[in-house]
Amino acid sequence: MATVPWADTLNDPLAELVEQAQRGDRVALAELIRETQDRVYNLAYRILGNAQEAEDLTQEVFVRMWRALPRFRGDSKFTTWLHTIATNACLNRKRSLRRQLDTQLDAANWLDALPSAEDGPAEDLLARDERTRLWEMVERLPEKYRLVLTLFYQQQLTYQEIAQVLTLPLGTVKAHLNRARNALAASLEKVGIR
Amino acid sequence: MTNCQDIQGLLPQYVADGQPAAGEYAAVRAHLNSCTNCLATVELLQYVETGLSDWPLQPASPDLTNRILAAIDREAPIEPWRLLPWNIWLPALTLLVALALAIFLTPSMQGELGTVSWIEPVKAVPLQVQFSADPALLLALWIGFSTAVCGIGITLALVHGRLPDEEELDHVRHRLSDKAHRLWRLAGQ
Repeated sequence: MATVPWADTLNDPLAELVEQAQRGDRVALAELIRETQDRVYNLAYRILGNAQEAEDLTQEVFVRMWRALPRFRGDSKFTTWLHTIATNACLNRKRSLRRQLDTQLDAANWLDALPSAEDGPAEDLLARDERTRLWEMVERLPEKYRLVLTLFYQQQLTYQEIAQVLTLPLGTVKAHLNRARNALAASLEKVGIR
Repeated sequence: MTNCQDIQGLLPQYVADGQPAAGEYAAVRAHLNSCTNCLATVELLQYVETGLSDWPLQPASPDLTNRILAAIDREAPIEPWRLLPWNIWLPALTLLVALALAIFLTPSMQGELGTVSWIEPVKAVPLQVQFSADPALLLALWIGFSTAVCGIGITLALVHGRLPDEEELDHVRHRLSDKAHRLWRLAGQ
């Protein structure tokens, strides 16, 4: 079995697949894509807010990943590296789509746009799964908060890895996350879930 | 006594860190013992924390992997210089080099390899190296050199290469037959 010098140090479960894919193993490449495509798709969906756009972008991200794969030397975990490519691609696409997709909320007024208890019958509100509503609330947060929330909770990246992906100071990442948590708590209170 | 405004700013991280009792959060714990308002915020934040920790990844379309692989294939034209996979052409090249050496260093040339002279550039002292014209020695040198070249190529292929799979072999067969067909047509003209 081929040895990967950086696999042990970073404890990367995908190291073996990455190394095989770098050597041109198509089966390993397919497996690597299967293992990570949902992460990229969810990140893209969280930023773009559109399933079709998210799938198109996921495809584009993996083509970029494949082009850059020979240069990947394992300085970070593969998923951290992939998230960096995906985040940059998503933010670039978002910028180009901003005029077409009218989903961007004004960051200053986003809290007002959250659903309130008067938005529907009380029975409907109660019938909805509370957790699902919480995840839906994330969609209404400003982009920078959605991004850190999905990277931390859904993609399971550490604070340090998020800082690396977003090229932000560690303190800024924690501050964004804490503001996002506060915002979600405030919106839970507003809709009367808690 | 610490006021609510100071404490509220610490609560999200306090909850995210698992509400530890000691260290920097000692003041927070003390405040929560006496403030129902901040305690209610902690409960909300705890609900957010638990809810987000269960946040699942939504699966993409089942055929997305195939579409990605197809997109990668479209991006990967075969480079014109890359007639064969390197783990095939490297040993083949070394064998060709050995063959070329065998042709051009045959004993028929040994008579021309009599004496070779170099002028040492700094001291300008003529330096002469005498070559033996012994055919047996030249033959031995040729065998040693070409064997070494072959050995290096095959060793490199064994160490870094791998056996080509069926798809690659099909590709090689296709390209070789294509080249042969073109050569045949050229020869016919």
